[in-house]
Amino acid sequence: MSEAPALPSAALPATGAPATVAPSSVVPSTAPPVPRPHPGARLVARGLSGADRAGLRGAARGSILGVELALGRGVHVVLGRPEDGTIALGELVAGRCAPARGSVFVDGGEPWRTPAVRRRIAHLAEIPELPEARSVSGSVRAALRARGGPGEEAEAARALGAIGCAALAGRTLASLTHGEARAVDLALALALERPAVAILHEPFADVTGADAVAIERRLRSLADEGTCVLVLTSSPRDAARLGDDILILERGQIDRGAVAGGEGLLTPAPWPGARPRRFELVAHLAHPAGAPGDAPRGNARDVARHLLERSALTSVTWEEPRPGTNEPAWLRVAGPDEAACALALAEAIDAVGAELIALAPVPTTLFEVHTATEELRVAARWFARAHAIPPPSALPHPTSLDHAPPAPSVPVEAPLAETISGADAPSPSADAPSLAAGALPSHVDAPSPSAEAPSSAPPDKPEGTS
Amino acid sequence: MSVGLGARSAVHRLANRAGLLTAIASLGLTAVAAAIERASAGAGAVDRALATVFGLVLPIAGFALVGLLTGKRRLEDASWSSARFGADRRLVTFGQVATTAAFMAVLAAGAAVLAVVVAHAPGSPPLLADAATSAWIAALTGAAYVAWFSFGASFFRFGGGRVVALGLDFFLGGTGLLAWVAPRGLAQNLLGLVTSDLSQRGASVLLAGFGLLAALVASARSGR
Repeated sequence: MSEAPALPSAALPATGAPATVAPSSVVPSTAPPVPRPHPGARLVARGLSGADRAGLRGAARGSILGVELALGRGVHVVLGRPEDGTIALGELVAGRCAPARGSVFVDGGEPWRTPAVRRRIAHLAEIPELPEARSVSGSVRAALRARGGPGEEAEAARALGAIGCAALAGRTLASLTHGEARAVDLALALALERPAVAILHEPFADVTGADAVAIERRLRSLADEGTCVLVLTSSPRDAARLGDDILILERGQIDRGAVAGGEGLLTPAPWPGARPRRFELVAHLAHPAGAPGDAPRGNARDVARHLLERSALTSVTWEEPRPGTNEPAWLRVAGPDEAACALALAEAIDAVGAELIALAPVPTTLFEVHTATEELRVAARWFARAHAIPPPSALPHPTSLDHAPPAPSVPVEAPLAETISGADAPSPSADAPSLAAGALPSHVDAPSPSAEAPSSAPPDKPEGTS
Repeated sequence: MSVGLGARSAVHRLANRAGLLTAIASLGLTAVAAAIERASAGAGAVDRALATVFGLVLPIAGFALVGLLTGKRRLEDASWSSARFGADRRLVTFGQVATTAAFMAVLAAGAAVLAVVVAHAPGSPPLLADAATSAWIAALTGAAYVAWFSFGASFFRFGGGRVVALGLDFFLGGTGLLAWVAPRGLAQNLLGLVTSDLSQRGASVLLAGFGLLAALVASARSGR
């Protein structure tokens, strides 16, 4: 691996403004806690390390290690589990405690020691801690007063009503479920006018009664107003739907950035050696016997038999209901195309006269995301060598200072396909490096100048693509 | 504003079933101890009952109340529910500690009065004067204990310094140099149980100053 120089300069994709950022795993945090100039950045973390306090009685559940970030306006998604450090990142940015090492700045101030900075941070915590009061409304008013407002009853009602939680206003805090408390916390976070940074941990999970559409609309409007919205989630689907850019947090470190829009997470490009994408659907079928007097319906076995003839599917499994019960049967199909799977399933069910009760996709797991990450890393290395892309120190880091419009449609498949088929490798064009810009991990084995020499070798012999 | 937020949060954490149980247990223990002392020997029963209050009931009650305030976590975590919205953590913490100290002062005064009344026997000092003196000394001592344990709770991961503070006070607080920097020694000084050149006024100022200093340092340690 080539040693990246400390604090290399990187051109930023959105604004083109120069900034100083560094790969997360390289730079020791020995610098004094003075914010470096990051034009447009509202949230800057330098060598940020620390643990969360989300465990029992404040014990640590996850931690981050040497995270480097410079984020501007836009919706930035950090994808990872709490054990990977998502909660720790959120708490450190929110100013819950001092970093163990490194520093974090929001609009130039350190949240953990500047109350005025915390007033401009909207924070949805994993475990919400609301100001104590007799009622939810009183708690919301206390929070609004802590932010420097008058904390009037109408203001509290407006905040709760904005996401459809007005009914909680009269309840006591002790009576709230975890999801309801998070809904109140979310209402408070989204009620803040023009925050500098909004940190939201799983804004669409465990938030009881909140209107998801209203939440998403509000997040987007915050981003448009100039807020740096940082969504911490373990859901690749939420990440892909929300994020202008996606950072994967793995074992406490920002692993890589994903393609803007997050499409790469769910439908990775067919890299050489990449596993084909699999979509899975689970269908529940009504009991074949049906109600007394009804004609018998087709069973799951019949449906499976029909499906086995379909080329759109790669696997079919089923389970019949236990004898003597009225439980539904289930059927699980998988294939490379979700729509084709659903269509085949519908046709088979119709053909045998079965009755469909429910149909649900099997969500993408983090394991699959991590696997895709590895595949992208290998592909990026291969792509960099094949196209003589400069070392990663000169490439955009998984860091963006501005709301980045979706990256231009890059010829992902065409150059690769050509290369795979042994055609002449395309010359590095203006578009070509942007693939690596999105997919190249910050600490990928870089083609150093000396290593570039053999890059004229036939590109159809990628190294380490197995 | 921030001090008020801290005070309100402390009231909500103490004025509940756990706080009520702490108060009832403290007063119950005091009453039982005083009754036993009165039954065993009338002479000096009030002094022995008060020794139990100052030596056992007040430290344990103070320890329990600070535990309720912090939720058995570090002191700085206790202020996070208000500080996360922009309140100054030091001021919130000071409001919390001051309110808990006031709560404890009332409880301690009640326990002292109860001890004097229950243990009162023929030959004891005048009841009203003795009760009044015992009450204000107990109130001051109780508040100092809360400040001391709050200071302790600002150390270690789960506020484990609170336990260290209890141990230091319990085992070493009445002897040596620590007698001048732990509530037990200062209270004994105020009660006249140890020989020193300090007047009662001087000893009370010393105890009050100690409590205030401990509360301020504990608040400052919470950061902003």
